[in-house]
Amino acid sequence: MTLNEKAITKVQAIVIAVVVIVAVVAGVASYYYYFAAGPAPLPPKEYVLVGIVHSLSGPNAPARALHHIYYYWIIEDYNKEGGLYVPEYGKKLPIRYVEYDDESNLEKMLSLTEKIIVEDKVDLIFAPWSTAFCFAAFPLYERYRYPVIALTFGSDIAAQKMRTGEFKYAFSVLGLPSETGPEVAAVLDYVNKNVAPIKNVAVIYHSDQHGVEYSSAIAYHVMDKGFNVVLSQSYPPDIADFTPLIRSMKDANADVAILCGYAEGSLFVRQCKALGFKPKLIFIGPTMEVPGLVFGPFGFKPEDLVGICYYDGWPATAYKTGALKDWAEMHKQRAGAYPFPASATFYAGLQCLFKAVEKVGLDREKIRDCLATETFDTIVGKTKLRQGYSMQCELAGTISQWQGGEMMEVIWPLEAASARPIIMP
Amino acid sequence: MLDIIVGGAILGALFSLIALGLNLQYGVTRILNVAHGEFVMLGAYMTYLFSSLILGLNPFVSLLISTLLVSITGLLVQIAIFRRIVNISQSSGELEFRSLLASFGLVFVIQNVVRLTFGATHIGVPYLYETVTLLGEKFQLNMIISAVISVVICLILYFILRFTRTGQAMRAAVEEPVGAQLVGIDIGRVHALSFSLGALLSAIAGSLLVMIYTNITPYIGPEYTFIALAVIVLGGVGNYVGCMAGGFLIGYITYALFKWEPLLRLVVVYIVLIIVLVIKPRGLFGR
Amino acid sequence: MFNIKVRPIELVPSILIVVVLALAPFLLSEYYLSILRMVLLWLALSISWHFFSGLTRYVSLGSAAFFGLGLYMTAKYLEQSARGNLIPLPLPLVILLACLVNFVIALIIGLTTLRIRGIYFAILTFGIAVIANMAVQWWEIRITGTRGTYLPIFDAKTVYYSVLLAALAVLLVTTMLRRSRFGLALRMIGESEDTAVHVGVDASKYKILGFAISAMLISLMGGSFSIRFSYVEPTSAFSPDYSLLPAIMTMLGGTGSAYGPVLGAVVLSLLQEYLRVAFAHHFLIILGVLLVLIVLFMPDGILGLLRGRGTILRRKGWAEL
Repeated sequence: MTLNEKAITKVQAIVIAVVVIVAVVAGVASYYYYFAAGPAPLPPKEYVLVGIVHSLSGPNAPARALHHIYYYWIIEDYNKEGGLYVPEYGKKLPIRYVEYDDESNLEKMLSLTEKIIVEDKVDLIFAPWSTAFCFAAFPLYERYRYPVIALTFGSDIAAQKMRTGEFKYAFSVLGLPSETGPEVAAVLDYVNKNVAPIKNVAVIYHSDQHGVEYSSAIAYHVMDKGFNVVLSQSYPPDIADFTPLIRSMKDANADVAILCGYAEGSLFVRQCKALGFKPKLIFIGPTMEVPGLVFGPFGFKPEDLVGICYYDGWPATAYKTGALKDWAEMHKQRAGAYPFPASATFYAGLQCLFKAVEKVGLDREKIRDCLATETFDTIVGKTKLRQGYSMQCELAGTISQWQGGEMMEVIWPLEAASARPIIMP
Repeated sequence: MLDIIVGGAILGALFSLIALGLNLQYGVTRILNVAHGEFVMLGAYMTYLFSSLILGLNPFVSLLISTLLVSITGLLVQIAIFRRIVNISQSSGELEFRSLLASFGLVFVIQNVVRLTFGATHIGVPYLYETVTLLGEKFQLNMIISAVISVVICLILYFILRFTRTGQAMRAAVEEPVGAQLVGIDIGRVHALSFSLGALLSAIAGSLLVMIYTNITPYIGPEYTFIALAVIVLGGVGNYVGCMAGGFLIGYITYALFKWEPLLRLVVVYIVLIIVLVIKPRGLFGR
Repeated sequence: MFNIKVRPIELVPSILIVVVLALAPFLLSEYYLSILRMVLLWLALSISWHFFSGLTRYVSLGSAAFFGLGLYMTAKYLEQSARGNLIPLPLPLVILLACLVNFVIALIIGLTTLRIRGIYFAILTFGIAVIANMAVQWWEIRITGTRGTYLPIFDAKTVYYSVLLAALAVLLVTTMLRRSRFGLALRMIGESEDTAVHVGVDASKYKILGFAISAMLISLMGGSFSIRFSYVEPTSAFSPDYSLLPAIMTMLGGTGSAYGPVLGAVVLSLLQEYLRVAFAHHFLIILGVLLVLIVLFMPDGILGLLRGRGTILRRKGWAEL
């Protein structure tokens, strides 16, 4: 080194320090002026703003794309009628939404949720996808006091906190593991006594919170009723091949196979048939149907699916009569496939939120209290949200089953059933 | 036990096919294309496009179209991106680092373009799903067919590499890059060809995959890239036989893990990879 | 070995910056504070990564393993001590414990894997990150039967100061080490390992120590960041972003100097945030395209571009920072 080291150092150091200070200050300042995405400064309210942070990309995206379609639908439907009626303004305001991608990353979901609350100042929030993400977001909703209806959510641990009041602003829709377990066991019991003898039950589950909780609840209650749980195995989210698991089930002589997972259920069913595994019943978790996958050109035919039950259609509707039937036909037009049992329930949950707004306005405390106490008229009849439990719907049952039609039948509880449980041919 | 023998072989055949593509391409160009698995995914989606979405073609016809399209994509990628990286890099370390980062960028782009075009939901083109009984055990027909096709393609590749001038040129480029240029082999052409071939083999594998499995998403790429990497490490770079052997070995390991502990299948593959790298860096079958 | 050179002229601007950063919670709203916190996190991660991988040219893609372990260990300890299963300790001590564990783990990993160079080392370290992720998940599902960790809730100021202090520690440690004989040794290994060995540098010792220190600093950031969550899962803690982005940011800034990672981290993290908000559906594609373009047309990073112009910056001493 032959150069004057000190001279270089001094100048460089000053340049660097200045650059860094300027960058930090400029970055922060420009956020104030340029980067605050979302609507321009608001005049007195012209629209209702909904904030949606969910997984548009990443491993959560496939299932999210299916379940959250109703987010867009309900906004479209209300806007078609002129918007959402807000009592404080005495008129209908159009609904707009801001939507961000959390890339299936919990941390990003949290910071983006903070953003829509603090920056975009949304009026209402639609929940992210999956139990884990909803759970992680609940403390944020508590802190900022936003009532949120978590659709894709089912966890007893979290529900416990809803019941104790720790999560006052979170509402759930689907059947929880502690509710679903006894229902599935009851169906097996009924089938065992009235349709065909069942002894061995195999459970495989997706390795996330949902899979873990539901599978253990179901296994517990099934054992309680006297059945043998011969297999309880978890599989990774990106499982490509169920063949080894199916062979294990065959070797264990399973009469019933229960899969606590998501759309991979369709692969499971297909491989069961290909490998000649014929249990009396197969239970699948949330939404095996993907438009095109089930009834597309290379999809299943209704005969192929006879006997397969969903435990997570909870609350489940049969789309056989009246308004629900029309809704199912509309669904087919709009989405390209008939609804899954929980479709109407999801939509109804969102309806509750909007109807609460129409009733008490945009004051979030009032919305929260309204959601916790009132009963709403939705497409599934009179509906009441019960914090820490599943939604109570007039026209819904809990377990559904394919029985050869283009849509599923509700088979449990018997009072709400549209058909009796059957076994697979 | 028969199911393990056949099941492992089915996976092994597919893995070998995918790994051969990467082996060829890395062996010739010394550029690690982390987006290799994305070509598999693209192959799957192209087949899905032409069979399920538009045209309704027979999946094997779609396979041919998809393979053609993806090979062209591989060629374009090489010309537009990797060739330039080679030209501007002054050391092999720079070349490796830059091509690694560029291919990561490629992964983001390809994954998300597919996601935006086709949506993120699971897709599949279940074809020939009938049951086949072999020695008392039942198997999926299309799995057996895929395995057979994979092996046949691998053999065809072997013949190309061994007996055609282009193939020999490629092998020369792998073993002795400088010497190959000295005898007049157009290295640029060989590089481009190796990329297209790699993409071609991946596309065939992807098209077969979409027929076997119905839970294909835009995100299946990286897993197959890692498996291909593990196979190459096991077998030795540029080593054809090693690649096939490594592919089947990994296939059996994966199948066994599927049976006993599916959560750990990637972990075990990686541990095997690490052990081999540390003990025998040239691969189990490398020279 | 730890001969330290601190340049007095850098003290004043540095102190100014630190004071401004310390006052930030009182000047910014929570959202902007979280943006600043994010920038600090990526800054510190990039600097830690560059300390080893930039100097020695051993490109490690395993940062996510150490970040995740630091984060998850701290989170687990907090969870268990809140439930009464472990003695409650002050937060800094918990984080420190996690760092020490990570240091030891990194030493072991370094001992076995630092014989491998180039692309294989990158692949290997990436594999380690994947293994760490899957192993923790497997442990949760099979052994404990739980999923995720529930932390006590900390307020935004505490979280910010936690990250800030950790980032300052990283800055201090790396700067001191880099300007000492230790840093010189690492740099020599990077320029030409065989020559360094010939000259008498104990390459193995420096490589392994350098790797372990870098890993420890990365886990320090992980631990300090853990309290940002009320509930965290392994997939979030071990996200591949934490492996890839420090490398990309360093490349963007320019690998030749220690200010490269700083520049790259600030620019890229802010850019990401802006793109994510402005183009919710397409930003990943934009980022991918940007990455390819940067590699093709700006392979020496921003500093490399600047280095080509201006007499002051073209001095050889630039690399000594």
